[in-house]
Amino acid sequence: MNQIWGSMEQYSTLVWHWPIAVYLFLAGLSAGAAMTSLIVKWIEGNGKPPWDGLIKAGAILAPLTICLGLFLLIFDLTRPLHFWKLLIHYNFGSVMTLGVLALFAYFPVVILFFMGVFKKELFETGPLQFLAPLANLALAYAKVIESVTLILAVGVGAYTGFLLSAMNSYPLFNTPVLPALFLVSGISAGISANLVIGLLFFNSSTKDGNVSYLHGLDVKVSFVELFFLFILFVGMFYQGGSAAHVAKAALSTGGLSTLLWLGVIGLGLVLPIGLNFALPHGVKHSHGFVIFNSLIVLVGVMSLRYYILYAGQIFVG
Amino acid sequence: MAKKYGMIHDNNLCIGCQACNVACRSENQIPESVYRLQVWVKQEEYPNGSLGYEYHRQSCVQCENTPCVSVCPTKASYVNDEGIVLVDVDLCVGCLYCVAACPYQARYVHPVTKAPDKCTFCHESRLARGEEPACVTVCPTDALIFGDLNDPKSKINKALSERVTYRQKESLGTQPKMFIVPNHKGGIRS
Amino acid sequence: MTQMLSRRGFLKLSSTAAAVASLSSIPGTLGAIEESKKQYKGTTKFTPSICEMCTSSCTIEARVEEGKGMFIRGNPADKSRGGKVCARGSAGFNQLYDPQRLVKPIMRVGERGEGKWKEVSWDEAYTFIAKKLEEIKQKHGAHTVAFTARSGWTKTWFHHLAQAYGSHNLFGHEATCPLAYGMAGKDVFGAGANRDFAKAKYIINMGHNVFEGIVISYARQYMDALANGAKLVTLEPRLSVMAAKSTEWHAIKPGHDLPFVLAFMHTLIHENLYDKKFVEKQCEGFEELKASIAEYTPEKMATECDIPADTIKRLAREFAKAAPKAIFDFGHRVTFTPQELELRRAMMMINVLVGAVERDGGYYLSKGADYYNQFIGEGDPKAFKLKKPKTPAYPKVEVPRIDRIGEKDSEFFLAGKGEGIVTLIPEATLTELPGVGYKLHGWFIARNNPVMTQSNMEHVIKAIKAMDLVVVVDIQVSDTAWYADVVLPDTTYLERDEEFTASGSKNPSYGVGRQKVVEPIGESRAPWRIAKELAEKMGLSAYFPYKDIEDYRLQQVGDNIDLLAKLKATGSASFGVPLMLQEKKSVAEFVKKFPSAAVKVNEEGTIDFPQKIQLFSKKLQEISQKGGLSYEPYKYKEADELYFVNGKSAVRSNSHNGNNAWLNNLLDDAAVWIHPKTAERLGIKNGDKIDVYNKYSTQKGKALVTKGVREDTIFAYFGFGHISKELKRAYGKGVNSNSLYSPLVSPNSGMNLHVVGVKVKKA
Repeated sequence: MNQIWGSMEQYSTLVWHWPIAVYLFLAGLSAGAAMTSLIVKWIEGNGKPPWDGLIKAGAILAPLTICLGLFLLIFDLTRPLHFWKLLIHYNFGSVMTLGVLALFAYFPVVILFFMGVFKKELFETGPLQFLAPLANLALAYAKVIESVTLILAVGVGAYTGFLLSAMNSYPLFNTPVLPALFLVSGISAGISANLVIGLLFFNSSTKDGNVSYLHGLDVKVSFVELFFLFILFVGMFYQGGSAAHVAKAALSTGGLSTLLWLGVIGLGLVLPIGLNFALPHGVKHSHGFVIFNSLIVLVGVMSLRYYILYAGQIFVG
Repeated sequence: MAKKYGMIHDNNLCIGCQACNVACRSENQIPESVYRLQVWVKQEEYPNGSLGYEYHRQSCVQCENTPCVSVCPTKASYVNDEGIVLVDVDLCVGCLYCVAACPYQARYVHPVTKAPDKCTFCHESRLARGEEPACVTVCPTDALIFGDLNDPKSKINKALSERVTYRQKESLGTQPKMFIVPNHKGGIRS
Repeated sequence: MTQMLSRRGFLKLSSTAAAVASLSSIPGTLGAIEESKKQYKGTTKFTPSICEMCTSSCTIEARVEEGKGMFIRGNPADKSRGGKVCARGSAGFNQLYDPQRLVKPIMRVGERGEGKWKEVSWDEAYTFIAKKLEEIKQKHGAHTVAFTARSGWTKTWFHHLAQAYGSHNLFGHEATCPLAYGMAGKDVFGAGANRDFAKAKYIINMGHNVFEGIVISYARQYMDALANGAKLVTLEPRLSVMAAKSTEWHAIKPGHDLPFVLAFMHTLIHENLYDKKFVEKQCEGFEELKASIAEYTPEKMATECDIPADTIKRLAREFAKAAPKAIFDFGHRVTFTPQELELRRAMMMINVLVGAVERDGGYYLSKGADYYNQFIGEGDPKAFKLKKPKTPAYPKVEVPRIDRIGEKDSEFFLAGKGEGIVTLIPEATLTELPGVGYKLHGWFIARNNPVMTQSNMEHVIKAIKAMDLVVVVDIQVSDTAWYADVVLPDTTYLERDEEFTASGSKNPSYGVGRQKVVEPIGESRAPWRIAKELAEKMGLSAYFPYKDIEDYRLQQVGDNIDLLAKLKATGSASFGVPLMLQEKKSVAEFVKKFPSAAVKVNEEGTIDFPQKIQLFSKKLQEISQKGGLSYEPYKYKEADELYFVNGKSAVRSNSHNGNNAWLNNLLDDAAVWIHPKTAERLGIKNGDKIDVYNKYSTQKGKALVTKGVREDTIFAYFGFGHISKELKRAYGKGVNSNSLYSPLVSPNSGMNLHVVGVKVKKA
């Protein structure tokens, strides 16, 4: 029968596009950067100023990237001038409301953290001096702020996954593995971003020991990430029905599957892990290599967000 | 007792003529590029080798367990006291979570308000005046039956008791209030 | 005794009636208000009228709020249509407000078909037309101008104008659509035949697809029949919606319906399954019929129509068993074979043979006032007949019409003078047809689109280009208007009142006709006004003795104030009770109402047919030696070609809906149906661009690969491939079926033929 009912353009299952993918990446990165900063800070010997470059990197990355991400989000709305309604109207059953609330708390907290870390450079003298009391506050309550930051960062990292997994009409989204995968992937991105920014901009204050520690941590996290990816797809295979069908399609169809195998898995996970074991100690801990390694990990994480968002909406069984 | 509106689409009576499609457009002044309602006509080959047409009504199925309302961050998507799923445009920020979350692809972005829009059983137009939805009003073969599921004497309850019906994607637990009478030749596609 | 209602009196009545009407536009009880209508603002108007989106002419109710058209539904008081409309009816206001509508008269400034126009005033247009018509009258005779008008209302005005002018070459579109079955009814019954689908228990349908070429009352009746357990057997080359809803679908070979029907009839007769008593009492010519079909056995005809002999016999036996609640549906668009007259007569004769005429669930004859009144004697009221205003006698025309209807030996004698054989016009323009003695020089076309609807398109265009004057009245620059000298903007149906109507199914009925829903947009004018004003320009105002349509309507009802009030208030009226001559109960009810009819009742309690049913046509035998039935195999295509057939789509139907925005958005390019095996053989995949071509034309289309069509056949919906560039949405989209069909005018019926051979290749 001919298509006598009109255009079917509005039925595209692809509702959320690349700005959302980038936002998920930035949110995960922000959370990961904050967590990495804290991890480094909590290592014996790093707890007092002057702060290690890797701590500084995270302190500035966390608020900056989340800010950028939120801007992207607002302008991706179809009614952007009404965005503020999200801040005063809540539906506690919606992951998006929970995310809004988490970010509502997360944002000021990471700014406070940033202010504490950069108190000497930015708030002791100069035009921003009037904010010094806040910076002092941040340092005074550092322990509390840092604990709260950690919890909220985990929340922000995981919520990006829950956001998608709450939709039971997309088989590739509708799995509990997704929040775990996104959280771990976010941590990996945070570690890598901190390394890049730290080594590029705060080189003088970056201790080598911290660098190799973080690098090694990233390798372990990458293993976990690979594991979660494995469970995700194998689990869907064994679920049978439309889930198995979708998994098969998502792994083998078109440019997206290429992106998964080459970008997410190859470039972002297998290569870093492989190089870590293949290269001699001197090379793999050189600043140049660490930066290169971190960059390909970041590409892999961004690819993961893009892949999941698009593949999940396109392969619906 | 509060009303609970539902609708039946009878595949045996439906001829895919799109009268409902156009009447909805006319009554609710739907912008040209989008549709609240379409009927998709698909050729089927039955197990015994014979051929036929299946008619799929593509529109909001007015779930009782609404995926769209659950995900809306501002409660712009809500269910009214008559069981109709509606959008309060004032509260909508356009995040499109509901559009993505709907398993039936029932929602589209209205080109003017930029908020998601969909079939509302003519809630704001004909129902408000005590009339049946536009689609039901025009259907040449009476393939659409509308009414209050809470009223034991309603036309829809009578039809539900006489005809075999199923609902789409029931396994998702959405509890749609759009009932389909399957084509007696082809059986149910569950 | 009763006076003619004066104009003042009418206005007084109509204002009360109008007040009443606006209150109770829901017909049914006078003064009763549909509860929901109270919820509308006071300025909201509901107007009952009649749709014009296709020729089904379903009753509608249009809602206008604050002067803007909002919604159209069916008229809820019309039980036969249940208050329903289809997609096209629902799109009526979209036609009204279409910015691509023609709302000013235009005249061509270049060559015909160049597409160069200039806007002119109505006066300029009228002056031009009057002048040209006078020229033609002086040079060649007024009869050389053909007047084609759409069935129904447009004919009233323009056929009248034509005859006042001096032309008797009057036509409707019938020869491209239903003429053959009207002729068959006239021949077999002496009246129009109808089908009581809802009560039938067995229906044979051969391509009468009422679910896509929607006729709402038929569609509902068919559904009722199916719901009541009727068996529906459809025979047609493709899986239409009708075929899909049927109990059985048989893919008969295109153009070969007649062999099936003859073999079916052969079975009924030779297996003694027919109603002997009925045939003896009510018919004549049975023996001649039996003799004429002796050779058409199921075994012989099976290979012709590609339906197995056993199936033919089985269906005939089942049909006979279900009779008299059985219907052999004689179709609507009857263009499947050059032997259409034989085919439709044969179908009707089948119902006659099983005695299913004037029976519940069978056929019944149209009982307008004339037919109905013949059973009512003196002393009982008779059905009112709408009057026509008195006008001077038409000038006499001495020469024959181009179809020679009215001449003693015309082969088309079964067509009415208002129907004519429109399909002859192109040939009658390019040549002098035998026995006619002149060529046509002008064509006045009102709400008709022969370039799209009369085959063959190029043949029609050639004829149009050879004429001295081509006038088109239409709501848009249609494909025919594209070639016209002057195009006059008709109003849409929502902008005009039309005359009252009278018809009859089981008893006589009357309708208020179309009613104005909104004021005309731009300078569009209704046909009654165009005809009257043009007549004035031509010095023929004596023939139009009414000021306006209200005046005309007044004269139609004369002093029958009751009828007038009822029509204005409720939209329709009927007379008497339904009458089925062969149903005892119905006859008893009839006699109760009209006691004088008792003398017509026979001992069985039924009424005999006023004239014997003709199973053999003496006149057809006399004129064409075709009194009985015969099958003449016809070569539709070459062996290496495919059959090409078309049908109507539910969302577009007539060609004039092609440019309607809402309907065009639903379907703008009808892909061509091809069987998978055929497609594979030709290397074509679903969605591929293809060329469909034969010696007449090459059409570009898209392929739709489906099992729902015969391997040797391709199918495309009609009404696509428009060639008028002013139809901006529809122009150039889809296959133009009319350019692929041959210009054949079938013998005795004059029908075009919508089966032809084509080849298909990947573009």
